[in-house]
Amino acid sequence: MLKRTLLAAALFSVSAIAIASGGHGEKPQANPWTHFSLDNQIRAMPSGDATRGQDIHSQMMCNACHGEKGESPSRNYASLNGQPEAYTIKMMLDYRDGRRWENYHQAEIMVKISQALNDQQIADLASFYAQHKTQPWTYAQPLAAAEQAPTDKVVRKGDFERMLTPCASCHGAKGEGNGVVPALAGQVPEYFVRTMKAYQSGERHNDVQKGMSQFTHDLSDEEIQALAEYYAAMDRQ
Amino acid sequence: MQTSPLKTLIAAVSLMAATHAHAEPQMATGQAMAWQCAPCHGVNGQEFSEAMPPLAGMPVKQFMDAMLAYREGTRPAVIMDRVARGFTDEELNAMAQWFAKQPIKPWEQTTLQESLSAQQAGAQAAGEKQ
Amino acid sequence: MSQFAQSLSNGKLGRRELIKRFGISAVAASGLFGASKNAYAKSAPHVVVLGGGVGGSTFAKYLRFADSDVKITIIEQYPEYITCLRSNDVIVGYHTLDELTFNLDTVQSKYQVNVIIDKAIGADFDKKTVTTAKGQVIAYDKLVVSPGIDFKFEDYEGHSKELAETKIFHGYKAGPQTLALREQLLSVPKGGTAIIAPPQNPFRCPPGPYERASFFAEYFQKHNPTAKVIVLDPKDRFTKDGPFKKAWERLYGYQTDNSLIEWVSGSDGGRVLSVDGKNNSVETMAGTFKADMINLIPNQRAGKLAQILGLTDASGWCPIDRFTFESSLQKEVYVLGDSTIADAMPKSGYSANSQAKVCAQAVADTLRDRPLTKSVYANVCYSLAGDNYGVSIAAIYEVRDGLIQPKGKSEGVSPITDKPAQPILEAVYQKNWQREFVKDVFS
Ligand SMILES: Cc1cc2nc3c(=O)[nH]c(=O)nc-3n(C[C@H](O)[C@H](O)[C@H](O)COP(=O)(O)OP(=O)(O)OC[C@H]3O[C@@H](n4cnc5c(N)ncnc54)[C@H](O)[C@@H]3O)c2cc1C
Ligand code: HEC
Repeated sequence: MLKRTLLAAALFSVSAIAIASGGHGEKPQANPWTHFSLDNQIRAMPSGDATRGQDIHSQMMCNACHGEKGESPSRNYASLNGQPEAYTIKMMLDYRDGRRWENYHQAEIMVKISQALNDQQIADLASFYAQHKTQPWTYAQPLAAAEQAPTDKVVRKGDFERMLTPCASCHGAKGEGNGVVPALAGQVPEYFVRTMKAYQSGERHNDVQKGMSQFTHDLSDEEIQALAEYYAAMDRQ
Repeated sequence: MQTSPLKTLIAAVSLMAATHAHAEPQMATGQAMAWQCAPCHGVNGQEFSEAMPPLAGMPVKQFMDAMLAYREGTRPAVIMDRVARGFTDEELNAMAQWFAKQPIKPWEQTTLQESLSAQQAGAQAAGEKQ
Repeated sequence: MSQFAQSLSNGKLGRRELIKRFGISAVAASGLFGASKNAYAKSAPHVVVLGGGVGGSTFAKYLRFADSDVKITIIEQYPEYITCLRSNDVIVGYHTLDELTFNLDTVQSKYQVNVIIDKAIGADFDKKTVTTAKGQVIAYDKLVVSPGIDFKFEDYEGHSKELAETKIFHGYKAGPQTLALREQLLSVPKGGTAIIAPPQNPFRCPPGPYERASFFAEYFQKHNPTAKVIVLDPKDRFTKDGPFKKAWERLYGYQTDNSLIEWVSGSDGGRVLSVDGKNNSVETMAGTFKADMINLIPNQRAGKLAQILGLTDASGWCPIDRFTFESSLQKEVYVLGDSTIADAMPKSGYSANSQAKVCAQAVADTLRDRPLTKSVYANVCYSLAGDNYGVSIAAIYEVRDGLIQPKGKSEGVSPITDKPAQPILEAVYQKNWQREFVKDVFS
């Protein structure tokens, strides 16, 4: 468990010094989203087809890192299965347009892949992942008994003192996500921690009007770790 | 099981043989093989901000699942299928044990002493005496 | 143990003796009594490395991993090392030379390696000493030599070292040569021609000339679309020629009338026989070619130092023991990298790095009388056929039937598929590899 936190910290600490590489490929400049512009953009996307999406998932080799149906085979990659369509679409657009660039070299794969896709293909992929429900992550460990109750409380009730809205109020009672809000059930814990830390530091800022990052500031490392494990093991059934 | 004097003798002789000629050397150590992965995965697998995934501190099971899937062709890959096909189960396991013991932090922030201890722990986990 | 090490361990060798043997500057510069004196026991054997390039620097670092006590000294002629890796990018402006410039500072400080900037000019294998241009004489227990390559200008009539430094550049040692090629490329007139003439096998970085041809084509496509690259090759095949030619078809109209690249094989008379610097032309079996720039990459042999030390055989390269990279011609002397005859392993930075690690383990084991283990090597050569188009060749190696050969079914080039992601990802990984590789070598 300590190890996991360290992984996230490690990923994170270098990211601060990672500079956008010169030479090959410049970073595109996109305006930050407003709720309005994001809504419009999502609405303007063509509707996706899951069967075509499956084909693209293999043609673009998404399956090399994200598994056969979006379930990540290792600690190093995110799970995509069960993500709402709008969320996947938003992420792909953010990578493509330079909004999600929290660590250039690590994100470089997704930047290049998204730049090779058109809107239709992105919509098709989104439809494919949405079709496969989340499932507990293959390597999830059960959360320590003592951490179960306090973590469950943050998820379902939040913490009024710290103005923490319950995670479930946006991410769903079963961590299933909704619209541009991602599913968290079955997410890879290292990826979860890495993401939370990136929001905390402002390194990642593609959330609309700090919709997510504001909730990360008052969480301790231990709480983030526990949340990661809680969600990784979460079963929607 | 008790080791017979004869076995000890044979072991001693073969050890001497290995020292002298190149007759039947032991399998390469997990460490020696793992070093070969560094140009992509970072020194001792300790690269955490690149497109290629870090290996340091990777749980043994995840490592083995990945390598076996690459080798058998059940996990698509750009390059790792080719790399994995070069190793036997035993060799993969020795590397898995070794990588699991490497610290989860960037190489630049790791001191030599820290790394030498971790490398030794890795060799021990892989059942190799240093 | 050598006499020198023995006398050190007996405490017989005083400072004066050391100065006599090492020269004053050596004792000062190498820090034998300085910062690193606490790093090793007085009895520690001394391993001296000639050449602090890819092979030498990697070796020193990994020997420190394999043995925390041994004394290590690198003798390198230049204070800075410019990597050939990605130097093709500099020619077309994707990188600057500064980004490819490294030194041995971290190797010295983090791994407690003595670094001497001086040129090795000879060795006495009986006395086990090395001599440098500044007159230092340095004793070793084990000597490691990784001097890179040397060019055979004499294989081409009319060519010379001088011409190669003023007009017909090779760009096969990164530095001024690289910048000179950049200048020439930028001044190719509209509709002009650039010739790239690769060498005969074996040579440093087998995909190098073809990556360069790709980059020139990409550059012309953007800036000078009627210009053309002609590759005059003495060979009929080259490494990764399948994926390269596929990429050229996809990107540069290869084998159409408008192709930006034309490749003339050896059978078609591509071999260059002579060079005319004044007229900027080369004569081949297929006739005379005139061009606006000629990038002739001459045939090669082991680095000069390896020749001077008598470590080469009739082939011009250094024969070695496949398990340890100990020279077959000199005991206790090891040769690494481009200079060696390593069978199936290409002359690449990756190979030099891989061999250095195996050799470091073998040297450590030998010094400590430990049994040797099997030798496992690796090589991956990544090339860019375009900024976002990578191709690769990879293999793990072992020693089988006395030769270094691919292990298992590991050997393979990038598959030619219709998956658009394959070359895109290989290009991302290529750049990733280069950043990690130089870290593995120098930090
Ligand atoms: C254009 C180009 C692109 C390349 N791209 C790649 C790539 O992408 N991937 C890859 O794996 N490889 C690549 N290579 C190949 C790679 O650069 C070499 O294979 C590698 O450098 C070989 O290492 P080495 O140790 O044998 O020699 P070098 O790295 O050349 O090191 C030799 C060192 O010895 C020093 N030296 C020589 N003589 C003396 C002396 N008498 N005294 C003291 N010091 C001395 C030199 O100054 C030098 O520092 C490329 C090469 C070229 C030309
Ligand atoms: C040439 C670069 C390269 C080399 C050499 C290399 N790898 Fe990889 N490795 C990759 C890439 C790229 C990936 C991502 C999968 C892919 O596309 O091939 C990867 C993925 C992996 C993974 C999966 C990680 C995860 O999180 O799922 C493991 C395990 C792995 N490599 C182990 C090794 C080992 C062990 C070696 C050395 C014997 C090695 N690799 C050598 C490039 C390399």
